[in-house]
Amino acid sequence: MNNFLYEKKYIVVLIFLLCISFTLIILSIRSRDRLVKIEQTVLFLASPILRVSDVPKEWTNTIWKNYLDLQDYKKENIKIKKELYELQDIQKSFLELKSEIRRLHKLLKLKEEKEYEYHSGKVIGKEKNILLTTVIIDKGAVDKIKKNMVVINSQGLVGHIYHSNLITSSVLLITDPRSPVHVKVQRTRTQGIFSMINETKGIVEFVSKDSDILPGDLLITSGLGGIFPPGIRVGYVIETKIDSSFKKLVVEPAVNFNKLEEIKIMEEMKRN
Amino acid sequence: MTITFSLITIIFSILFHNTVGDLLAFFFGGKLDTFLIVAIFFTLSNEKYTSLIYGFILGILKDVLSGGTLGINALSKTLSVFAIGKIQSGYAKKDFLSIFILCSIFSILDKLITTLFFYFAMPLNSITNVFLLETISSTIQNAILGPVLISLLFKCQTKFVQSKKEINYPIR
Repeated sequence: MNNFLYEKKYIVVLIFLLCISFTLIILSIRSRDRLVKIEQTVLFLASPILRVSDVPKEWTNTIWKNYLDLQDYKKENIKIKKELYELQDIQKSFLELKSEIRRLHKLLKLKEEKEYEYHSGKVIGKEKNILLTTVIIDKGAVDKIKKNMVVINSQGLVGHIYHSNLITSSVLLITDPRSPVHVKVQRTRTQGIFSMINETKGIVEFVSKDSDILPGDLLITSGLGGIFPPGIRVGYVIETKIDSSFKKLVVEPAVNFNKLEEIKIMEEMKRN
Repeated sequence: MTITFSLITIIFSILFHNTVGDLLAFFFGGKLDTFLIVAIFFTLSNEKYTSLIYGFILGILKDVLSGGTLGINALSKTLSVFAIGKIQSGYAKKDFLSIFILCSIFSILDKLITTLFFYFAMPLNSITNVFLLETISSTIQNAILGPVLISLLFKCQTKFVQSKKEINYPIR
């Protein structure tokens, strides 16, 4: 008898639960808005658990993302290694060439290439003119800074020491029209005189008309003129113009003079 | 089995569903139905009457968490639990193979109920190949991981919960 009642109760509960399920389904299909409160209540009760479960989910996502990044890094690493080996080869041949040049210089009794010591400094003052011509740096005579020493930064040629005080110095930038730089195009070795025409553009004049110069060509100091040593980056050619018997090159300077902060002062090393 | 253990198991099922379930779904397409597995466990370890209610609660939880039609999983889980209860009364084996078969059959049954319901309620929605593949993947996951999870839950139950059927010896 008890078993019969239990079975009856069991069937009643089943029918009751099925009825609720059907009602929920019908309400869910016809008018979902009425069930929002039920959903919200269940979600409110389950929210702490969901928040906890989000933590390992986030971890998994991060691990997976890192794994994918790692795959990219792996490919990039292989590429960089390849480039590094190529550069190492170039460096070896460069060093050999350098020593060969030195030997030849000795044989020909030519003056050897100058070597430089570098002093790091910071720009502490700027003179605000239409053309930013001079900046003040935090190195002076105390730090063995002398007039006409060359100032560079990681991007290229900045200028030269115009005046040296005890603890500070003034640097005449190459943006100053009074400070032209003798330059050459690295690829073609064509020479010319560089000067700035505004804050962002410079011009190279007296370039031979038949020279094959293309936009994007790198300009470096030629070493002529006495102040700037050869091989320092000055800018990139952005346009070429033909002007009577010469070519004019419009140049974008390598150095961003509006964001000038750290600099290096080149001191010529004395040989024994 | 105490209510506390049941609650912990339900919390565990939500956690598992949202973490490992999501991860498996990412790799294999179909999602492991932890709620069904826990419902089977409740049916095997509880009275038929109690397990019906647990099955219904788990179904509602799945409905709310999945954001689908409310009540559809409650219906399928209640029916599944009822069917397992009927089978269990005549066939009470709890070994790995039996649970494997139970999980496989009831995964298919669960999917069949929901699919048939959608098919009749919304005939415009046709059954796609992606849906079929996800169903197969989900069934396989349930069949393989179901027995593992259920046996783990049984072990936890025997370790932490004192059985009601324990014989109380008289105090001498």
